[in-house]
Amino acid sequence: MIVGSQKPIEEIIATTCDYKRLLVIGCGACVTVCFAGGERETEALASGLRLAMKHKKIKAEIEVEMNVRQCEWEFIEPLADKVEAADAVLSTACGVGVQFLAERFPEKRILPALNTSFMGGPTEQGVWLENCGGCGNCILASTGGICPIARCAKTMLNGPCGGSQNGKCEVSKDIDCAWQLIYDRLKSQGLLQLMTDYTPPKDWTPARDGGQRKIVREDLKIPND
Amino acid sequence: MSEENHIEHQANCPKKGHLWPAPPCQAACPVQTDARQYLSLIARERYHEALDVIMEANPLPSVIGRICAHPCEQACRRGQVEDPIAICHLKRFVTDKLGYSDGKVKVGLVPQTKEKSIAVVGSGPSGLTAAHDLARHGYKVTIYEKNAKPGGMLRYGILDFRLPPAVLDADIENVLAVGIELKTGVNIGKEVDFQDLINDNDAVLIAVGLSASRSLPIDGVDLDGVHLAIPVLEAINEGQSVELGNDVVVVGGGNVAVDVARSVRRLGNKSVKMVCLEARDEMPAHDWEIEDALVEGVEMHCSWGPDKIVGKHGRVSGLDFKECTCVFDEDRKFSPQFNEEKRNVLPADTIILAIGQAGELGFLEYSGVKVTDSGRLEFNHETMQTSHPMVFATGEITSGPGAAIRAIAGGHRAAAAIEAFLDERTPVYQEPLEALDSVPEHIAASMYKTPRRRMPKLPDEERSTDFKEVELGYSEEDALREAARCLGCTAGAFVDESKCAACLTCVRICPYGVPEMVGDKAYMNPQACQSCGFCASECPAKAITVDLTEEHLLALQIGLDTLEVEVAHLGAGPRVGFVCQFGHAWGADRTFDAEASMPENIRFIRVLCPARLEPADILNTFENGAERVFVTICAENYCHYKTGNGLTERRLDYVRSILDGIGIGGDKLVSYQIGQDTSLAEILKEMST
Ligand SMILES: Cc1cc2nc3c(=O)[nH]c(=O)nc-3n(C[C@H](O)[C@H](O)[C@H](O)COP(=O)(O)OP(=O)(O)OC[C@H]3O[C@@H](n4cnc5c(N)ncnc54)[C@H](O)[C@@H]3O)c2cc1C
Ligand code: SF4
Ligand code: SF4
Ligand code: SF4
Ligand code: SF4
Repeated sequence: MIVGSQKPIEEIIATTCDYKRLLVIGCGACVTVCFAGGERETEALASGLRLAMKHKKIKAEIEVEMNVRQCEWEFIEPLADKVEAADAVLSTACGVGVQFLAERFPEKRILPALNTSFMGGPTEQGVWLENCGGCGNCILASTGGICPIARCAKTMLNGPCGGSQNGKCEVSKDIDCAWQLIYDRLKSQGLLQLMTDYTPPKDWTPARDGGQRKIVREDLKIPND
Repeated sequence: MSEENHIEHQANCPKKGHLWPAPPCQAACPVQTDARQYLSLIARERYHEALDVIMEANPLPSVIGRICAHPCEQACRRGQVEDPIAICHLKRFVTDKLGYSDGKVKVGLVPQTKEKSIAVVGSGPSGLTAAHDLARHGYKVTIYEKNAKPGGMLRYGILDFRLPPAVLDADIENVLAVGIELKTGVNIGKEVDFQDLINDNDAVLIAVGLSASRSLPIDGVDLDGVHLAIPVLEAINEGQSVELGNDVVVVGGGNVAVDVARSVRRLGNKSVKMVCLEARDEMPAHDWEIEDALVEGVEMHCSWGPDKIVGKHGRVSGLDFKECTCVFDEDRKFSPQFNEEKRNVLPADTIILAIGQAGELGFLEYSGVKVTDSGRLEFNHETMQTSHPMVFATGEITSGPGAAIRAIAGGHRAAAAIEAFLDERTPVYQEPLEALDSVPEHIAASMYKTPRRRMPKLPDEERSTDFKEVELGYSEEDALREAARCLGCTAGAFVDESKCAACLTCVRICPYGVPEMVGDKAYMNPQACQSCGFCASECPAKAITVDLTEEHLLALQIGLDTLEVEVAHLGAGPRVGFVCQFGHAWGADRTFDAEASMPENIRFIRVLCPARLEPADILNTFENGAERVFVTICAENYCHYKTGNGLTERRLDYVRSILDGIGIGGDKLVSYQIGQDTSLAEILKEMST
């Protein structure tokens, strides 16, 4: 899932405090699950903002709306009237949701409340870790199910760099060396020979380097008549 | 959540339908009192609302709060943990606290809006209840009572040391105040003909109870010194002198027998012995009554059957009895077996027979209302009608002897039947409720144990000398603590599946391991859920509701609305405290009355465990004008729900970080750990400055 976290409230206050009528829109999907933009966090953020405005002696109306998924036109549409009536919209969805709102309401100020960070999952309640780089051409089959693109600071493809120390990455002792993990996993599976297979330089076109990516499934399209 | 939304939620809540079982206390109560609701209101000191909940089901709350046989407590699931909740004592507490039982609270008249009139014969609990229901629905109701005062066996059977007459008077006065005419000293069949009631009314209700004592077909019952229980009780209750000797034997093992024994003990220095067929653990009298009787010096002789009463010069001199080996047959039918070999004799100058009661139905002769050869009313339990279509019956005359609350239930049912008859439709009665099953054993074993609060009683030595009320009533601290013990059965977590994002938080956070994923939605088994609401305040999708949490949110909201108003008049510095209802009474100053000695700038909001507070609740409080907010949290090993302490502290830290970001400062949110030596008074003092 997409993982993000709320921006510092000071930053959100700075971007929203000029608007008298603010609509805060949460999302019921990934950002709910990562405690960044579900109903609970969105309401807490709205209370925080109301309180901040009151503290600054600014009169503002701050309302909350929820969305099943902010990255679907049909789920956004019912909010059109509310959005029109507001001076600005603060979205607690990931960057995708923010852009969907911005595209549907091009004349409106749409502001992000989150820093959308990565694709990953919780390792325990309250802790999330990045797992996938979305490179568009998955190599997990040869790396023991551990992604060096997302999890190695240098995106190394043929084994570790010289900075691998006692299983940790030289970037921080809190980060595991992805290649150490890959080595250990392959060894335990008796597949160490995979480490010796040479991986040629990766074609990054399916990743972001090829421009905004797009997937088309002609078979799913609704035919126009 | 606004109050309107709250009510709508309750009405629409799928839990409220037949899908969800009822708390066992409510299912066991003959009038289906919503005990869970009133307990949770008491725990938050909302006594007026608690009384409203009680009186929805029961027009005699002060009486029933004292003498009820309380089948609810036998069914209470807290009993699986240690002791059942003192549901009955808490009912009494509310009526005492509000002055209802003293007659200080007055109920208003309900105007008569209907033409039809109903005559009720008998002013016991069943007759009073039926009359009350009918009068409240606008009918003209007259009660005829042969005795000088109303109340039936509540007045002439149950003695003052269990039910002071002033308490009974207060309840009855409020029942009558809705607009019921009461004619006392009118014995139907003597002063007024039963036929006249039929002629002058649209319906008649027979609620005459069982006012005659049964006698025993043994030798010697005609001797001087042999009495029947009910006349003795009536005489004592009316303050008339009764000629009793000093060696009294009471025959019978039921509640009436125990009552007779306990009252005779109070008439002077008499030896009082009870003889009954049943073994001690089979006696039909309630355990708590038997224990009181023993404390008061009554002797019990169990498993003995009276054979004959012996006498000298026409007066009783003793009771001969033989061993009773078995009282009931295999089908639990009364069929006593005796061992003729083992016999005993008790010297006695007085014998009181308390072996059962019967109805007196002579007044029905020639009325067209049929009485069977064995002296019982012909009666249809479905329609509540006798053989005469406009004559109805209820109470013990139809059900046989039992508890007063059953007679009250009968009164409600009779009123519903009569209304349906007058409207020419089929009656609609309260459906029996399906009770929630027992607490799973592993959960019961893991729960925080808090023993039941004892009822303060008159010292033993003061008891057998007069008729002062024995049970003294709970103090407020007792009541708050006792009410908080309720498990809130079936008020637990309920998931709105359309909102659940399957994040698994509830599964991870529940201190009792209740939630599970069924497919991609969380599900909480109501049988296991303890209604702590932790999952609800943690769920990121706000998909979970807990009835008691909703309720607490409502309280919160009300608190906040008024805070705005109050803040204006207080000037600077209002503070709001969220106080754990469990922890409140644990402080060093247990008897400290927080409400009474509250500094003017502090508002106190009692919450079920503060771990139920969401971040937005606290931020809202600041938004509504609080300058500082404090939260009292039970110290680590005292949390009623095990993990509330840690959950609350980390949530408060999160809110502090927001307050820091806003520029208000996280230090404006203070938490106190409440343990045995914490003083609430000191916390309040500190917070007020
Ligand atoms: C000694 C004793 C102790 C008890 N203790 C308890 C207890 O602790 N807890 C508990 O729950 N229950 C207790 N009960 C039971 C409880 O009192 C009864 O269940 C209840 O009072 C029955 O109500 P009722 O309305 O059917 O009849 P009653 O209370 O008997 O009332 C019937 C009324 O009808 C009147 N009446 C009869 N005939 C006529 C007539 N012809 N004309 C006019 N009026 C008439 C009578 O005078 C009486 O007032 C006790 C009963 C007794 C006898
Ligand atoms: S130490 Fe490991 S993870 Fe870090 S950059 Fe080098 S190879 Fe990559
Ligand atoms: S614990 Fe409370 S709700 Fe449950 S049965 Fe007992 S009194 Fe009723
Ligand atoms: S915490 Fe809420 S969203 Fe998450 S699984 Fe439970 S009910 Fe669903
Ligand atoms: S956290 Fe509390 S309310 Fe939620 S399921 Fe568990 S026991 Fe029930």
